[in-house]
Amino acid sequence: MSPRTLRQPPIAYSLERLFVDQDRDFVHDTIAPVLAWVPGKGAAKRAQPFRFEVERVLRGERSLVPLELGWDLAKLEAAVPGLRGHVRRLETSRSAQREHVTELAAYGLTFVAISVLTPGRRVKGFRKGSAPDLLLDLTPGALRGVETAGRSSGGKSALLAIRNGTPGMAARPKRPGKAAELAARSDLAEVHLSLWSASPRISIMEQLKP
Amino acid sequence: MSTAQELHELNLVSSSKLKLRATAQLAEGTADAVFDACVLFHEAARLERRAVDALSPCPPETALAGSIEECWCLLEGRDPDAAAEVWSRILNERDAVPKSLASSMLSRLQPRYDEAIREFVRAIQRYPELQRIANTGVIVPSSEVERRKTLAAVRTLVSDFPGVAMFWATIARLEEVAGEARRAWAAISRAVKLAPEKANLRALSLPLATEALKPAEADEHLRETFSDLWRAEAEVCLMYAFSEIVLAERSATGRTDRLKRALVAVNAAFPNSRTEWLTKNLKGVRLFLEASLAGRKADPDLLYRAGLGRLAATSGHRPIDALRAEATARVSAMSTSGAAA
Repeated sequence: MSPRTLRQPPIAYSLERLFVDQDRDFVHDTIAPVLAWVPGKGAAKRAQPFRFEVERVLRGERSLVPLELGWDLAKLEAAVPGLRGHVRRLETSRSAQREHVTELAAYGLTFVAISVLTPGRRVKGFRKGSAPDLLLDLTPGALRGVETAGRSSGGKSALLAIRNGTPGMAARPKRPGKAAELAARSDLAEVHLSLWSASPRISIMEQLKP
Repeated sequence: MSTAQELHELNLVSSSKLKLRATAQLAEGTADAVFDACVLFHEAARLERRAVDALSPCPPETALAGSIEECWCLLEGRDPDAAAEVWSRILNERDAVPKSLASSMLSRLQPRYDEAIREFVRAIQRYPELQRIANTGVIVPSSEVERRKTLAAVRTLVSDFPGVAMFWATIARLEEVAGEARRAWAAISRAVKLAPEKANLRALSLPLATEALKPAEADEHLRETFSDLWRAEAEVCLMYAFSEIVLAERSATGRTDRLKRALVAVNAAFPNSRTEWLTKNLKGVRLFLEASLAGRKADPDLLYRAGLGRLAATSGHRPIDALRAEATARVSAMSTSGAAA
Protein backbone atom coordinates (compact mmCIF):
# COMPACT_ATOMS: atom_id res chain seq x y z
CA MET A 1 0.00 0.00 0.00
CA SER A 2 1.45 3.35 -1.01
CA PRO A 3 1.61 6.21 1.56
CA ARG A 4 -1.22 8.00 -0.26
CA THR A 5 -3.64 5.13 0.23
CA LEU A 6 -6.55 6.00 2.47
CA ARG A 7 -8.01 3.31 4.69
CA GLN A 8 -11.80 3.34 4.72
CA PRO A 9 -13.96 1.80 7.43
CA PRO A 10 -15.11 -1.77 6.69
CA ILE A 11 -18.30 -2.27 4.70
CA ALA A 12 -20.49 -5.26 5.53
CA TYR A 13 -22.56 -6.78 2.75
CA SER A 14 -24.98 -9.67 2.83
CA LEU A 15 -24.98 -11.59 -0.44
CA GLU A 16 -28.77 -11.95 -0.47
CA ARG A 17 -28.98 -8.16 -0.92
CA LEU A 18 -27.72 -8.67 -4.46
CA PHE A 19 -31.22 -9.77 -5.44
CA VAL A 20 -32.36 -6.24 -4.63
CA ASP A 21 -29.35 -4.27 -5.80
CA GLN A 22 -28.98 -6.02 -9.18
CA ASP A 23 -31.13 -7.82 -11.74
CA ARG A 24 -31.94 -11.19 -10.20
CA ASP A 25 -31.54 -13.02 -13.51
CA PHE A 26 -27.93 -11.88 -13.69
CA VAL A 27 -27.21 -12.59 -10.04
CA HIS A 28 -28.88 -16.00 -9.88
CA ASP A 29 -26.17 -18.03 -11.59
CA THR A 30 -23.29 -16.50 -9.69
CA ILE A 31 -24.46 -17.29 -6.15
CA ALA A 32 -23.42 -20.95 -5.97
CA PRO A 33 -19.98 -20.21 -7.48
CA VAL A 34 -19.41 -17.42 -4.93
CA LEU A 35 -20.34 -19.78 -2.10
CA ALA A 36 -18.09 -22.49 -3.49
CA TRP A 37 -15.13 -20.23 -4.28
CA VAL A 38 -14.87 -17.56 -1.59
CA PRO A 39 -14.51 -19.70 1.57
CA GLY A 40 -11.71 -21.84 0.12
CA LYS A 41 -10.69 -25.13 1.68
CA GLY A 42 -10.25 -25.83 5.37
CA ALA A 43 -12.76 -25.26 8.16
CA ALA A 44 -10.74 -22.41 9.71
CA LYS A 45 -11.22 -20.32 6.59
CA ARG A 46 -14.93 -20.92 6.30
CA ALA A 47 -16.17 -18.62 9.07
CA GLN A 48 -18.19 -15.59 8.02
CA PRO A 49 -17.71 -12.77 7.32
CA PHE A 50 -15.19 -13.20 4.53
CA ARG A 51 -13.05 -10.11 4.47
CA PHE A 52 -11.68 -8.86 1.16
CA GLU A 53 -9.15 -6.04 1.14
CA VAL A 54 -10.43 -4.03 -1.81
CA GLU A 55 -7.97 -1.54 -3.27
CA ARG A 56 -10.08 1.10 -4.94
CA VAL A 57 -8.49 3.38 -7.50
CA LEU A 58 -10.64 6.29 -8.59
CA ARG A 59 -9.25 9.21 -10.61
CA GLY A 60 -5.76 8.40 -9.38
CA GLU A 61 -6.78 8.32 -5.70
CA ARG A 62 -6.20 5.04 -3.89
CA SER A 63 -8.18 3.83 -0.95
CA LEU A 64 -8.40 0.53 0.87
CA VAL A 65 -11.93 -0.64 1.52
CA PRO A 66 -12.31 -3.75 3.69
CA LEU A 67 -15.37 -5.59 2.36
CA GLU A 68 -16.93 -8.03 4.82
CA LEU A 69 -19.03 -10.46 2.86
CA GLY A 70 -21.52 -12.77 4.50
CA TRP A 71 -24.75 -14.55 3.68
CA ASP A 72 -27.82 -16.18 5.11
CA LEU A 73 -27.95 -19.56 3.41
CA ALA A 74 -31.67 -20.05 4.08
CA LYS A 75 -32.50 -16.71 2.45
CA LEU A 76 -30.24 -17.42 -0.48
CA GLU A 77 -31.77 -20.86 -0.95
CA ALA A 78 -35.22 -19.29 -1.08
CA ALA A 79 -34.02 -17.23 -4.05
CA VAL A 80 -31.95 -20.00 -5.64
CA PRO A 81 -33.68 -23.37 -5.16
CA GLY A 82 -31.27 -26.29 -4.85
CA LEU A 83 -28.42 -23.98 -3.89
CA ARG A 84 -26.81 -26.23 -1.26
CA GLY A 85 -26.61 -29.18 -3.63
CA HIS A 86 -25.28 -26.96 -6.36
CA VAL A 87 -22.53 -25.59 -4.11
CA ARG A 88 -21.61 -29.12 -3.01
CA ARG A 89 -21.33 -30.24 -6.63
CA LEU A 90 -19.11 -27.32 -7.54
CA GLU A 91 -16.88 -28.01 -4.52
CA THR A 92 -16.59 -31.76 -4.79
CA SER A 93 -17.67 -33.07 -8.19
CA ARG A 94 -14.89 -34.29 -10.41
CA SER A 95 -16.71 -32.98 -13.45
CA ALA A 96 -16.90 -29.39 -12.14
CA GLN A 97 -14.91 -26.97 -14.29
CA ARG A 98 -12.91 -24.88 -11.83
CA GLU A 99 -12.07 -22.10 -14.28
CA HIS A 100 -15.77 -21.43 -14.84
CA VAL A 101 -16.47 -21.54 -11.10
CA THR A 102 -13.78 -18.88 -10.64
CA GLU A 103 -15.12 -16.87 -13.57
CA LEU A 104 -18.69 -16.86 -12.23
CA ALA A 105 -17.57 -16.13 -8.67
CA ALA A 106 -15.63 -13.10 -9.92
CA TYR A 107 -18.77 -11.85 -11.67
CA GLY A 108 -20.75 -12.34 -8.46
CA LEU A 109 -18.17 -10.43 -6.44
CA THR A 110 -18.15 -7.68 -9.04
CA PHE A 111 -21.92 -7.38 -8.65
CA VAL A 112 -21.26 -6.92 -4.94
CA ALA A 113 -18.55 -4.34 -5.52
CA ILE A 114 -20.71 -2.34 -7.94
CA SER A 115 -23.59 -2.40 -5.47
CA VAL A 116 -21.37 -1.32 -2.56
CA LEU A 117 -19.09 1.21 -4.23
CA THR A 118 -21.51 2.75 -6.72
CA PRO A 119 -24.94 2.35 -5.09
CA GLY A 120 -27.81 2.48 -7.54
CA ARG A 121 -25.82 1.32 -10.56
CA ARG A 122 -26.98 -1.92 -12.10
CA VAL A 123 -25.39 -4.32 -14.55
CA LYS A 124 -27.40 -4.40 -17.78
CA GLY A 125 -25.44 -6.76 -19.96
CA PHE A 126 -22.83 -9.45 -20.01
CA ARG A 127 -20.49 -10.45 -22.76
CA LYS A 128 -17.65 -12.84 -23.23
CA GLY A 129 -16.07 -12.26 -26.62
CA SER A 130 -14.53 -8.87 -25.90
CA ALA A 131 -13.93 -6.65 -22.91
CA PRO A 132 -15.55 -5.40 -20.77
CA ASP A 133 -17.48 -8.40 -19.42
CA LEU A 134 -20.19 -6.61 -17.46
CA LEU A 135 -21.97 -3.69 -19.10
CA LEU A 136 -23.53 -0.82 -17.19
CA ASP A 137 -24.72 1.02 -20.30
CA LEU A 138 -25.42 -0.59 -23.68
CA THR A 139 -25.45 2.59 -25.79
CA PRO A 140 -23.79 1.70 -29.11
CA GLY A 141 -20.42 3.38 -29.51
CA ALA A 142 -20.37 4.61 -25.90
CA LEU A 143 -20.41 1.49 -23.76
CA ARG A 144 -19.79 1.63 -20.03
CA GLY A 145 -18.66 -1.49 -18.25
CA VAL A 146 -16.50 -3.47 -15.88
CA GLU A 147 -13.84 -5.93 -16.93
CA THR A 148 -13.61 -8.75 -14.43
CA ALA A 149 -11.16 -11.52 -13.59
CA GLY A 150 -10.54 -13.88 -10.71
CA ARG A 151 -7.62 -15.94 -9.47
CA SER A 152 -7.91 -18.70 -6.88
CA SER A 153 -4.52 -17.78 -5.43
CA GLY A 154 -1.63 -15.42 -5.93
CA GLY A 155 -2.98 -12.32 -4.22
CA LYS A 156 -1.97 -8.89 -5.39
CA SER A 157 0.90 -9.99 -7.63
CA ALA A 158 -1.47 -12.27 -9.58
CA LEU A 159 -3.97 -9.42 -9.95
CA LEU A 160 -1.30 -6.97 -11.04
CA ALA A 161 -0.15 -9.47 -13.67
CA ILE A 162 -3.68 -9.34 -15.09
CA ARG A 163 -3.73 -5.56 -14.92
CA ASN A 164 -0.28 -4.90 -16.33
CA GLY A 165 0.35 -8.01 -18.42
CA THR A 166 3.25 -10.44 -18.31
CA PRO A 167 6.43 -10.48 -20.37
CA GLY A 168 6.91 -13.29 -22.84
CA MET A 169 8.92 -16.31 -21.74
CA ALA A 170 10.09 -19.47 -23.47
CA ALA A 171 7.05 -21.54 -22.51
CA ARG A 172 4.54 -18.72 -22.29
CA PRO A 173 3.67 -16.00 -24.78
CA LYS A 174 3.63 -12.35 -23.77
CA ARG A 175 0.28 -11.39 -22.32
CA PRO A 176 -0.77 -7.76 -22.65
CA GLY A 177 -2.24 -6.01 -19.62
CA LYS A 178 -5.97 -5.37 -19.45
CA ALA A 179 -5.50 -1.80 -18.21
CA ALA A 180 -3.63 -0.57 -21.29
CA GLU A 181 -5.91 -2.47 -23.66
CA LEU A 182 -9.07 -1.02 -22.15
CA ALA A 183 -7.73 2.51 -21.87
CA ALA A 184 -7.02 2.44 -25.63
CA ARG A 185 -10.56 1.46 -26.58
CA SER A 186 -12.24 4.41 -28.27
CA ASP A 187 -15.67 2.75 -28.22
CA LEU A 188 -15.78 2.71 -24.39
CA ALA A 189 -17.05 5.80 -22.58
CA GLU A 190 -16.32 4.38 -19.15
CA VAL A 191 -14.51 1.27 -18.01
CA HIS A 192 -13.44 -0.24 -14.72
CA LEU A 193 -11.29 -3.19 -13.72
CA SER A 194 -12.56 -5.60 -11.08
CA LEU A 195 -9.98 -8.21 -10.05
CA TRP A 196 -10.37 -10.80 -7.30
CA SER A 197 -8.07 -13.22 -5.53
CA ALA A 198 -9.61 -15.89 -3.26
CA SER A 199 -6.45 -16.66 -1.31
CA PRO A 200 -5.43 -14.25 0.05
CA ARG A 201 -8.71 -12.36 -0.22
CA ILE A 202 -7.71 -9.27 -2.13
CA SER A 203 -9.37 -7.20 -4.81
CA ILE A 204 -8.52 -4.31 -7.10
CA MET A 205 -11.37 -2.05 -8.24
CA GLU A 206 -10.01 0.58 -10.58
CA GLN A 207 -11.69 3.10 -12.83
CA LEU A 208 -9.65 3.27 -16.04
CA LYS A 209 -11.85 5.59 -18.11
CA PRO A 210 -12.80 8.39 -18.10
CA MET B 1 -34.74 5.97 -26.69
CA SER B 2 -35.83 4.77 -30.14
CA THR B 3 -37.68 1.53 -30.70
CA ALA B 4 -34.69 0.17 -32.63
CA GLN B 5 -32.41 0.97 -29.71
CA GLU B 6 -34.86 -0.65 -27.29
CA LEU B 7 -35.00 -3.78 -29.42
CA HIS B 8 -31.21 -3.82 -29.61
CA GLU B 9 -30.94 -3.64 -25.83
CA LEU B 10 -33.71 -6.15 -25.25
CA ASN B 11 -31.88 -8.73 -27.35
CA LEU B 12 -28.57 -7.99 -25.62
CA VAL B 13 -30.10 -8.33 -22.16
CA SER B 14 -31.77 -11.62 -23.10
CA SER B 15 -28.54 -12.91 -24.58
CA SER B 16 -26.61 -11.84 -21.47
CA LYS B 17 -28.85 -13.87 -19.20
CA LEU B 18 -28.54 -16.94 -21.40
CA LYS B 19 -24.75 -16.64 -21.44
CA LEU B 20 -24.56 -16.48 -17.66
CA ARG B 21 -26.86 -19.49 -17.40
CA ALA B 22 -24.75 -21.32 -20.00
CA THR B 23 -21.52 -20.54 -18.17
CA ALA B 24 -23.07 -21.95 -15.00
CA GLN B 25 -23.85 -25.14 -16.94
CA LEU B 26 -20.25 -25.32 -18.16
CA ALA B 27 -19.12 -25.01 -14.54
CA GLU B 28 -21.17 -28.12 -13.69
CA GLY B 29 -19.15 -29.94 -16.32
CA THR B 30 -21.23 -33.10 -16.86
CA ALA B 31 -21.88 -34.14 -20.48
CA ASP B 32 -25.57 -33.24 -20.22
CA ALA B 33 -24.82 -29.88 -18.59
CA VAL B 34 -22.27 -29.09 -21.30
CA PHE B 35 -24.82 -29.92 -23.98
CA ASP B 36 -27.38 -27.67 -22.27
CA ALA B 37 -24.74 -24.94 -22.24
CA CYS B 38 -24.19 -25.43 -25.98
CA VAL B 39 -27.92 -24.97 -26.63
CA LEU B 40 -28.01 -21.80 -24.52
CA PHE B 41 -24.93 -20.36 -26.22
CA HIS B 42 -26.45 -21.03 -29.65
CA GLU B 43 -29.60 -19.19 -28.62
CA ALA B 44 -27.48 -16.35 -27.25
CA ALA B 45 -25.61 -16.18 -30.58
CA ARG B 46 -28.91 -15.79 -32.44
CA LEU B 47 -29.95 -12.99 -30.06
CA GLU B 48 -26.63 -11.19 -30.60
CA ARG B 49 -27.34 -11.23 -34.33
CA ARG B 50 -30.86 -9.92 -33.79
CA ALA B 51 -29.47 -7.13 -31.60
CA VAL B 52 -27.24 -5.96 -34.45
CA ASP B 53 -29.98 -6.38 -37.04
CA ALA B 54 -32.29 -4.20 -34.92
CA LEU B 55 -30.06 -1.18 -35.54
CA SER B 56 -30.22 0.35 -38.97
CA PRO B 57 -27.77 1.81 -39.67
CA CYS B 58 -25.61 -0.03 -37.17
CA PRO B 59 -22.38 1.75 -36.12
CA PRO B 60 -19.42 -0.26 -37.48
CA GLU B 61 -17.89 -0.93 -34.07
CA THR B 62 -21.26 -2.15 -32.74
CA ALA B 63 -21.63 -4.49 -35.72
CA LEU B 64 -18.11 -5.82 -35.15
CA ALA B 65 -18.71 -6.22 -31.40
CA GLY B 66 -21.95 -8.10 -32.15
CA SER B 67 -20.25 -10.49 -34.54
CA ILE B 68 -17.36 -11.03 -32.12
CA GLU B 69 -19.84 -11.94 -29.41
CA GLU B 70 -21.82 -14.19 -31.74
CA CYS B 71 -18.64 -15.99 -32.79
CA TRP B 72 -17.49 -16.37 -29.17
CA CYS B 73 -20.89 -17.79 -28.17
CA LEU B 74 -20.61 -20.40 -30.92
CA LEU B 75 -17.08 -21.31 -29.83
CA GLU B 76 -18.25 -21.61 -26.21
CA GLY B 77 -21.15 -23.62 -27.59
CA ARG B 78 -18.57 -26.07 -29.06
CA ASP B 79 -19.52 -25.27 -32.64
CA PRO B 80 -16.44 -24.15 -34.59
CA ASP B 81 -18.31 -24.97 -37.79
CA ALA B 82 -20.88 -22.22 -37.23
CA ALA B 83 -18.25 -19.92 -35.68
CA ALA B 84 -16.30 -20.11 -38.94
CA GLU B 85 -19.28 -18.70 -40.81
CA VAL B 86 -19.37 -15.71 -38.46
CA TRP B 87 -15.60 -15.29 -38.71
CA SER B 88 -15.87 -14.50 -42.42
CA ARG B 89 -18.26 -11.68 -41.56
CA ILE B 90 -15.89 -10.43 -38.85
CA LEU B 91 -13.05 -10.12 -41.37
CA ASN B 92 -15.19 -7.80 -43.49
CA GLU B 93 -16.52 -5.77 -40.56
CA ARG B 94 -13.03 -5.37 -39.14
CA ASP B 95 -12.06 -3.24 -42.13
CA ALA B 96 -14.76 -0.69 -41.29
CA VAL B 97 -13.28 0.32 -37.91
CA PRO B 98 -9.88 1.85 -37.08
CA LYS B 99 -7.18 -0.81 -37.14
CA SER B 100 -6.04 -0.31 -33.54
CA LEU B 101 -9.60 -0.52 -32.23
CA ALA B 102 -10.34 -3.67 -34.27
CA SER B 103 -7.17 -5.29 -33.07
CA SER B 104 -8.01 -4.49 -29.45
CA MET B 105 -11.61 -5.72 -29.82
CA LEU B 106 -10.39 -8.98 -31.38
CA SER B 107 -7.57 -9.61 -28.90
CA ARG B 108 -9.62 -12.09 -26.88
CA LEU B 109 -11.41 -13.83 -29.74
CA GLN B 110 -8.67 -14.24 -32.33
CA PRO B 111 -6.39 -16.68 -30.41
CA ARG B 112 -9.39 -18.60 -29.16
CA TYR B 113 -10.83 -18.88 -32.67
CA ASP B 114 -7.51 -19.92 -34.24
CA GLU B 115 -7.01 -22.64 -31.65
CA ALA B 116 -10.59 -23.93 -31.93
CA ILE B 117 -10.41 -24.17 -35.72
CA ARG B 118 -7.03 -25.91 -35.62
CA GLU B 119 -8.43 -28.44 -33.17
CA PHE B 120 -11.61 -28.93 -35.24
CA VAL B 121 -9.78 -29.48 -38.53
CA ARG B 122 -7.32 -31.85 -36.83
CA ALA B 123 -10.23 -33.85 -35.38
CA ILE B 124 -12.09 -34.09 -38.67
CA GLN B 125 -9.01 -35.05 -40.66
CA ARG B 126 -8.58 -38.06 -38.42
CA TYR B 127 -11.66 -39.61 -40.02
CA PRO B 128 -11.69 -40.37 -43.76
CA GLU B 129 -15.36 -41.34 -43.34
CA LEU B 130 -16.21 -37.68 -42.81
CA GLN B 131 -14.21 -36.61 -45.82
CA ARG B 132 -16.27 -39.08 -47.83
CA ILE B 133 -19.55 -37.56 -46.58
CA ALA B 134 -18.29 -34.07 -47.32
CA ASN B 135 -17.21 -35.04 -50.84
CA THR B 136 -20.24 -37.10 -51.83
CA GLY B 137 -23.06 -35.74 -49.66
CA VAL B 138 -23.98 -39.37 -48.97
CA ILE B 139 -24.31 -39.96 -45.24
CA VAL B 140 -25.15 -43.66 -45.25
CA PRO B 141 -22.51 -45.90 -46.83
CA SER B 142 -23.73 -49.01 -48.61
CA SER B 143 -21.61 -51.38 -46.53
CA GLU B 144 -22.56 -52.23 -42.96
CA VAL B 145 -18.93 -52.12 -41.84
CA GLU B 146 -18.48 -48.64 -43.28
CA ARG B 147 -21.73 -47.50 -41.67
CA ARG B 148 -20.53 -48.64 -38.26
CA LYS B 149 -17.16 -46.98 -38.76
CA THR B 150 -18.84 -43.73 -39.78
CA LEU B 151 -21.15 -43.82 -36.79
CA ALA B 152 -18.25 -44.47 -34.41
CA ALA B 153 -16.31 -41.58 -35.96
CA VAL B 154 -19.14 -39.10 -35.62
CA ARG B 155 -19.92 -40.24 -32.07
CA THR B 156 -16.31 -39.59 -31.09
CA LEU B 157 -16.38 -36.18 -32.74
CA VAL B 158 -19.62 -35.19 -31.09
CA SER B 159 -18.16 -35.86 -27.66
CA ASP B 160 -15.58 -33.14 -28.39
CA PHE B 161 -17.92 -30.88 -30.36
CA PRO B 162 -21.40 -31.44 -28.92
CA GLY B 163 -22.58 -28.11 -30.34
CA VAL B 164 -22.28 -29.07 -34.01
CA ALA B 165 -25.84 -29.78 -35.11
CA MET B 166 -24.81 -31.50 -38.34
CA PHE B 167 -22.94 -34.18 -36.36
CA TRP B 168 -26.10 -34.99 -34.40
CA ALA B 169 -28.12 -35.06 -37.63
CA THR B 170 -25.60 -37.46 -39.16
CA ILE B 171 -25.82 -39.72 -36.11
CA ALA B 172 -29.61 -39.63 -36.36
CA ARG B 173 -29.54 -40.75 -39.99
CA LEU B 174 -27.05 -43.56 -39.35
CA GLU B 175 -28.99 -44.80 -36.31
CA GLU B 176 -32.23 -44.64 -38.26
CA VAL B 177 -30.82 -46.81 -41.02
CA ALA B 178 -29.55 -49.24 -38.37
CA GLY B 179 -33.10 -49.52 -37.02
CA GLU B 180 -32.24 -47.71 -33.77
CA ALA B 181 -35.21 -45.36 -33.87
CA ARG B 182 -34.99 -44.12 -30.29
CA ARG B 183 -31.31 -43.30 -30.60
CA ALA B 184 -32.01 -41.59 -33.90
CA TRP B 185 -34.76 -39.56 -32.26
CA ALA B 186 -32.50 -38.55 -29.36
CA ALA B 187 -29.83 -37.40 -31.81
CA ILE B 188 -32.15 -35.43 -34.11
CA SER B 189 -33.78 -33.82 -31.07
CA ARG B 190 -30.36 -32.53 -30.02
CA ALA B 191 -29.70 -31.22 -33.52
CA VAL B 192 -33.02 -29.35 -33.53
CA LYS B 193 -32.36 -27.88 -30.07
CA LEU B 194 -29.05 -26.50 -31.28
CA ALA B 195 -30.28 -25.16 -34.60
CA PRO B 196 -34.07 -24.79 -34.64
CA GLU B 197 -33.68 -22.32 -37.50
CA LYS B 198 -32.56 -25.15 -39.81
CA ALA B 199 -35.64 -26.40 -41.59
CA ASN B 200 -34.08 -29.67 -42.71
CA LEU B 201 -33.43 -30.72 -39.11
CA ARG B 202 -37.01 -30.01 -38.09
CA ALA B 203 -38.15 -31.86 -41.20
CA LEU B 204 -36.07 -34.94 -40.37
CA SER B 205 -37.41 -35.01 -36.82
CA LEU B 206 -40.97 -35.66 -38.06
CA PRO B 207 -40.67 -39.17 -39.52
CA LEU B 208 -38.34 -40.11 -36.65
CA ALA B 209 -41.02 -39.06 -34.17
CA THR B 210 -43.42 -41.55 -35.74
CA GLU B 211 -40.83 -44.32 -35.43
CA ALA B 212 -39.46 -43.60 -31.98
CA LEU B 213 -42.27 -42.12 -29.91
CA LYS B 214 -45.45 -43.57 -28.50
CA PRO B 215 -48.39 -42.89 -30.84
CA ALA B 216 -49.83 -40.13 -28.64
CA GLU B 217 -46.42 -38.42 -28.31
CA ALA B 218 -45.80 -38.68 -32.04
CA ASP B 219 -49.21 -37.22 -32.75
CA GLU B 220 -48.49 -34.34 -30.40
CA HIS B 221 -45.23 -33.63 -32.23
CA LEU B 222 -47.05 -33.68 -35.58
CA ARG B 223 -49.89 -31.53 -34.25
CA GLU B 224 -47.42 -28.81 -33.26
CA THR B 225 -45.98 -28.82 -36.76
CA PHE B 226 -49.40 -28.81 -38.41
CA SER B 227 -50.48 -25.75 -36.44
CA ASP B 228 -47.44 -23.91 -37.83
CA LEU B 229 -47.67 -25.20 -41.40
CA TRP B 230 -48.64 -21.80 -42.78
CA ARG B 231 -45.11 -20.58 -42.12
CA ALA B 232 -43.22 -23.85 -42.47
CA GLU B 233 -40.59 -24.46 -45.12
CA ALA B 234 -41.36 -26.79 -48.02
CA GLU B 235 -39.18 -29.65 -46.75
CA VAL B 236 -40.89 -29.52 -43.35
CA CYS B 237 -44.31 -29.76 -45.04
CA LEU B 238 -43.15 -32.64 -47.21
CA MET B 239 -41.73 -34.67 -44.32
CA TYR B 240 -44.86 -33.91 -42.32
CA ALA B 241 -46.91 -35.40 -45.15
CA PHE B 242 -44.79 -38.56 -45.21
CA SER B 243 -45.19 -38.91 -41.45
CA GLU B 244 -48.97 -38.72 -41.65
CA ILE B 245 -48.97 -41.22 -44.53
CA VAL B 246 -46.89 -43.67 -42.49
CA LEU B 247 -49.29 -43.39 -39.55
CA ALA B 248 -52.31 -43.70 -41.86
CA GLU B 249 -50.88 -46.92 -43.26
CA ARG B 250 -50.18 -48.23 -39.78
CA SER B 251 -53.71 -47.86 -38.46
CA ALA B 252 -57.12 -47.46 -40.08
CA THR B 253 -58.26 -45.20 -37.24
CA GLY B 254 -58.31 -41.62 -38.45
CA ARG B 255 -56.76 -42.65 -41.76
CA THR B 256 -58.74 -40.23 -43.92
CA ASP B 257 -58.06 -37.31 -41.60
CA ARG B 258 -54.36 -38.07 -41.69
CA LEU B 259 -54.31 -38.21 -45.47
CA LYS B 260 -56.24 -34.95 -45.67
CA ARG B 261 -53.76 -33.24 -43.37
CA ALA B 262 -50.92 -34.64 -45.48
CA LEU B 263 -52.53 -33.13 -48.59
CA VAL B 264 -52.92 -29.77 -46.86
CA ALA B 265 -49.21 -29.88 -46.04
CA VAL B 266 -48.20 -30.79 -49.59
CA ASN B 267 -50.30 -27.98 -51.05
CA ALA B 268 -48.83 -25.54 -48.52
CA ALA B 269 -45.34 -26.58 -49.59
CA PHE B 270 -45.56 -25.84 -53.33
CA PRO B 271 -45.21 -22.04 -53.15
CA ASN B 272 -42.09 -22.40 -50.99
CA SER B 273 -40.38 -25.12 -53.00
CA ARG B 274 -37.17 -23.77 -54.49
CA THR B 275 -35.55 -26.90 -55.87
CA GLU B 276 -36.57 -29.12 -58.74
CA TRP B 277 -36.31 -32.40 -56.85
CA LEU B 278 -38.55 -31.06 -54.08
CA THR B 279 -41.23 -29.83 -56.47
CA LYS B 280 -41.26 -33.15 -58.32
CA ASN B 281 -41.38 -35.09 -55.08
CA LEU B 282 -44.30 -32.96 -53.88
CA LYS B 283 -46.11 -33.64 -57.16
CA GLY B 284 -45.64 -37.37 -56.67
CA VAL B 285 -46.93 -37.27 -53.10
CA ARG B 286 -49.92 -35.18 -54.16
CA LEU B 287 -50.82 -37.73 -56.87
CA PHE B 288 -50.57 -40.49 -54.28
CA LEU B 289 -52.74 -38.63 -51.76
CA GLU B 290 -55.38 -37.64 -54.27
CA ALA B 291 -55.71 -41.26 -55.38
CA SER B 292 -55.79 -42.56 -51.81
CA LEU B 293 -58.44 -40.07 -50.73
CA ALA B 294 -60.55 -40.93 -53.77
CA GLY B 295 -60.32 -44.60 -52.82
CA ARG B 296 -58.27 -45.44 -55.92
CA LYS B 297 -55.10 -47.46 -56.03
CA ALA B 298 -52.13 -45.19 -56.65
CA ASP B 299 -51.09 -45.04 -60.29
CA PRO B 300 -48.09 -47.36 -60.83
CA ASP B 301 -46.70 -44.70 -63.18
CA LEU B 302 -47.03 -42.03 -60.48
CA LEU B 303 -43.30 -41.36 -60.38
CA TYR B 304 -43.12 -40.89 -64.16
CA ARG B 305 -46.10 -38.54 -64.05
CA ALA B 306 -44.35 -36.48 -61.39
CA GLY B 307 -41.30 -36.15 -63.64
CA LEU B 308 -39.24 -38.66 -61.67
CA GLY B 309 -38.52 -41.13 -64.43
CA ARG B 310 -35.07 -42.05 -63.19
CA LEU B 311 -36.35 -42.77 -59.71
CA ALA B 312 -39.18 -44.87 -61.19
CA ALA B 313 -36.75 -46.89 -63.25
CA THR B 314 -34.26 -47.55 -60.47
CA SER B 315 -36.05 -47.66 -57.12
CA GLY B 316 -37.89 -50.98 -57.22
CA HIS B 317 -39.98 -49.83 -54.22
CA ARG B 318 -43.62 -48.82 -54.01
CA PRO B 319 -43.80 -45.30 -55.45
CA ILE B 320 -44.61 -43.68 -52.10
CA ASP B 321 -41.68 -45.51 -50.44
CA ALA B 322 -39.36 -44.41 -53.23
CA LEU B 323 -40.50 -40.82 -52.79
CA ARG B 324 -39.97 -40.99 -49.04
CA ALA B 325 -36.53 -42.57 -49.37
CA GLU B 326 -35.46 -39.95 -51.89
CA ALA B 327 -36.75 -37.07 -49.75
CA THR B 328 -35.10 -38.39 -46.59
CA ALA B 329 -31.75 -38.76 -48.33
CA ARG B 330 -31.97 -35.31 -49.93
CA VAL B 331 -33.06 -33.53 -46.76
CA SER B 332 -30.38 -35.34 -44.71
CA ALA B 333 -27.72 -34.29 -47.20
CA MET B 334 -28.62 -30.65 -46.51
CA SER B 335 -26.89 -31.03 -43.11
CA THR B 336 -23.56 -32.16 -44.46
CA SER B 337 -22.23 -28.82 -45.65
CA GLY B 338 -19.84 -26.83 -43.50
CA ALA B 339 -16.35 -27.21 -42.15
CA ALA B 340 -16.27 -30.95 -42.84
CA ALA B 341 -16.46 -30.06 -46.49
